[in-house]
Amino acid sequence: MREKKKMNFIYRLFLAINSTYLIIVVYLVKKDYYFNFLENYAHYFSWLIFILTPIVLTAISFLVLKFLSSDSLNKKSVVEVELANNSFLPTYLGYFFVSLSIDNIPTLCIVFIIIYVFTFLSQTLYFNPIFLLFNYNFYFIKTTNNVRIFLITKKLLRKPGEDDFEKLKRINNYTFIDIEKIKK
Amino acid sequence: MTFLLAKIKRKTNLLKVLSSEDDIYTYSDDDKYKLPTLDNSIEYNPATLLEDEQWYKYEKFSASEYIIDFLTNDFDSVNYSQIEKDSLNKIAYLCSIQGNVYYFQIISSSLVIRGKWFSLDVLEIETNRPIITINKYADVIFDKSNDVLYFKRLSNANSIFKGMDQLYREATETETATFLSNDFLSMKNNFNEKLVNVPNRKRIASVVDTLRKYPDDKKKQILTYIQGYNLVPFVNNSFEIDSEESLKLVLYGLEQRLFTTEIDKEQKIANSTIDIHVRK
Repeated sequence: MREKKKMNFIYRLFLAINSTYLIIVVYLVKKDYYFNFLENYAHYFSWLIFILTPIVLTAISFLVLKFLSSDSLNKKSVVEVELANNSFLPTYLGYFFVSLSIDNIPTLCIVFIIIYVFTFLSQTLYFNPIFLLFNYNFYFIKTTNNVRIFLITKKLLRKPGEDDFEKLKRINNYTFIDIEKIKK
Repeated sequence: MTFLLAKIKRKTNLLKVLSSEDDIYTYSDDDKYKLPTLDNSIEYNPATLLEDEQWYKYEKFSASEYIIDFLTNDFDSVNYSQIEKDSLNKIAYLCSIQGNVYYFQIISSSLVIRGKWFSLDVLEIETNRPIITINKYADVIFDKSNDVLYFKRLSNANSIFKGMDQLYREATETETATFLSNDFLSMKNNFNEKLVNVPNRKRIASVVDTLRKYPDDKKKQILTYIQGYNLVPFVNNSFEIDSEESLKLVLYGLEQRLFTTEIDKEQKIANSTIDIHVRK
């Protein structure tokens, strides 16, 4: 139990990093940073590595999922489904403008830490758009008990009551991720 | 998938403790936590005492006034927040949800081990890590597919489903006093309502209702029947009650629990009864 709790905490730290890391990437690209060992190549290669880093980290985060506590949700209990795929956009545009207007590394560190801490504490905002690259979708779901949860799943939900969710993992009390493979 | 939820004292919502692939209460014989045999159960009746393997049952429980929403709604674990460490000290009961069957266990202080302990696998002393042990049998079981509630003790069921003790309530002091003032009873040795203990109060509560429905001739008939067994002195048209024991015998009589065996003509008292049509 203690291990599981620790795992959950680390996982949440990790998710928050993945979803805010793009701030750093945008800053590095804007300032024309590149890896020393790639100085003989076009800077695009270095930037590609910057961009791939959060993607790889997100891929790793899927491996940690099985250590989280399991949950389930009946299809009959879903009363409302709302697609939230695009709700990260305003937040992300905000992040981008912030990092584009930052001039130096110390400011970047402070801004990043502030955004990171609040993303972590806000709990409901683990929007990591990189999940979209892995075919995940974001939904707000309301259950018959009037509980609203944030669900990350590969399933395409259009209306309530179509799919059971038997293999959910609890990220926190409001955020769940579905690890079931979709049948083709 | 089995989910273990906990009810915290003075909170309405349950909290999720854990989920597990393995059932907590299981059927296999070698497992310590096996299921009781629920087939051997009888409709709840305060007059019936249980044998070891027997359970009381309450059929069509969802239609009763004692049902809680938690049992009527479909179960979805996402609706329940994860329990926090500081709540673990205040658990009233646990509920293990295994498919359509809900197993309740009341958490008394004896199930919580706060002292030092070590596991038989890892021989290291653990301090300040209280653990909660799980009983072999659940205290109360609700089978949702058949809509039946099973329990061994009404007091346990009552601590989960408030008000269930009305099924077998105790007479209050006033009710006891009213009952003792009936003409067919006379107090001796300063015996009074204050001295009547809980089992007799429960008997009084159930006898009073039956007695009220009786017409006078039937009342007379039942008094003659009790006199016939000669257990309590009957003087001046009333039974002389001088102790809990004599009161109990009269109450047994009023419930018609005194009987004579058909063949051997032996006189007996039934301390537990079952309606024959219920048994079938």
